[in-house]
Amino acid sequence: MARSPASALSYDQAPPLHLPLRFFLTAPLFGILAGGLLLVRGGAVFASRWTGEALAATHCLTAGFMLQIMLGALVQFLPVGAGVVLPGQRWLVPLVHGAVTAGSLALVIAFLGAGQPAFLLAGATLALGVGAFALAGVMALRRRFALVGIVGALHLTFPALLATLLLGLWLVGGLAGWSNPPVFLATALHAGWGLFGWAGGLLLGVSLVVVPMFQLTPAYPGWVGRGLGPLLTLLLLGWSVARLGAGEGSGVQVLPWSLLLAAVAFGFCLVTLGLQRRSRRPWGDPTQRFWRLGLVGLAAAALLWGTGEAGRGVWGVGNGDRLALWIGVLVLFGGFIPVICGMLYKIMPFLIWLDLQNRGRGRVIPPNMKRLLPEAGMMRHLRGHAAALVALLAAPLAPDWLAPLAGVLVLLAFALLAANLLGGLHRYRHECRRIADCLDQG
Amino acid sequence: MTASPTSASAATTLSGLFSQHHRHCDEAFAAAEKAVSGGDWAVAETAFDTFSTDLLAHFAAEEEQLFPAFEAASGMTGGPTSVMRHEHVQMRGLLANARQALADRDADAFLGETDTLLILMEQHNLKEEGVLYPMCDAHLAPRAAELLERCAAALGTM
Repeated sequence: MARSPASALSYDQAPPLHLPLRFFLTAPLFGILAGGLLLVRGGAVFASRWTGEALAATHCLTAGFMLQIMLGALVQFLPVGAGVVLPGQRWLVPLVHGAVTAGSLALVIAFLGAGQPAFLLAGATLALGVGAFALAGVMALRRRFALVGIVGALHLTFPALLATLLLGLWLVGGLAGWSNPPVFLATALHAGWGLFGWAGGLLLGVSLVVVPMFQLTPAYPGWVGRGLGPLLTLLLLGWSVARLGAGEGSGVQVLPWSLLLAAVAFGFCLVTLGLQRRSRRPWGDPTQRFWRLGLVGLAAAALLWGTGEAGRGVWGVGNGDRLALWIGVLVLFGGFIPVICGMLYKIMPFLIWLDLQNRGRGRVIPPNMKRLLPEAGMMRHLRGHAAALVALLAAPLAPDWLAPLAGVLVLLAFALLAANLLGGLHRYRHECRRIADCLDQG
Repeated sequence: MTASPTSASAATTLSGLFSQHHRHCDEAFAAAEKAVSGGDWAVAETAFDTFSTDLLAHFAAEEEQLFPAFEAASGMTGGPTSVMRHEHVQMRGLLANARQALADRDADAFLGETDTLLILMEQHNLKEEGVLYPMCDAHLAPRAAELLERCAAALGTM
């Protein structure tokens, strides 16, 4: 697609390292917080998906961890994947980071009983941070209109983020005593747009690029690249309309939409796993393993959700809280988070390497990515994450004594991630000094 | 080794020709990486030579044929092509490091260098295929046939 000279120039403006890095380094702290919460109040977290503790732990992982890294990755991905730059990113990104961090923390504290002021602070700061980023994304993409491929998926992603935010604000308004939303309906829509639209749309868009090009697999079938973004958008809209029609219940008219959404998610995971099995790269690096774990987790979550919806819609069998908790664990800790970690373990060392390369001006050579962020640490994290996932899946069976164990393991897994990232930062600083010394010595 | 004549000759646009050659370089890259990973150094040497030759031919075709033509037609000399040239320099550096690691029979160093090279190379390809090549197609349409022939020759695909 031909573009104007002015916009064409934008894609050489790779963001400075500190812009995405601040998100990546903050995110694991929320994961550690989720682990701590499970350790201390694990019984309440696994008692029901509706307890304050469960909502706090969920939002540690979604708003605190996933959102942070997804925003940071988008700052880097938009210029490379879509040829656009967020308007005013040098001041916008620090503002968004500060607001999202404060907002996520306030939300978690509010769910733990801090009351109305915390909900108001959370609502205001998340509205500012997420709203500004999503609107900037929509503006950046306005000259790159496409219905299909990466750009098409990104066109779904930003409006979905806005929808998730607005629905979340509606719910927060209710909790702060300002409005009276239909809680089950608004929560279902908030989760649906957040998981299928924002996180799912971004996963789809990123996968269409990363899987064939960076993992050297065969290309996705044409219908996935061309059809899946628009299909996901249509299904999400259809599901939302049906859900609104059903009100606070979950009427039978919602079921076909739910089943189709589950089938699309399940199918996409299987297709991607199939492509990755045919990768021409040697098997076994931590990124590949994190991706595989995440896609299997998402496929299992889609299967359980579809089966649960069918059971409730057709046979009138109640889902129960336990199924909802398993689906939540699989979607977040077993699904999106491993994929995000896998991506992060490529993005972070590459950005550090690129920064060092530019600092060295071709005269001082930086260490390669595997030396900046060694794989041994990533593998320790992967094993820790897998152990925590098993404990989380077992926890609903005996919350009182399994949830604290899961908490320790979750805390440990995110601490290993933090240690790996901080190790990379430490090596980056060391290399900066070495490069400066070498250049000084001529 | 050069790109397969059938795939290259199917290209009717500059973006098609260069994008196909990207995929061709990927094939040779994967063969080298897999051979080193499996400890087959003789195969790795051959595959890496192929990859290196093809990648350098790709850079040369862009820097000597495509980019000057685009810069002359669009008047843009300090924009995308300057970024692409800078990234070519970075990739040549990684290529040299990987070659040294291959000579040293140091699999860890080789795979570290090629892992970095792959990410740099693919994000570079993504920018070219998504933005620069379509711009080249648009700006160079009047002389596309002549350029296509010259670039294909430089890539060794005809």
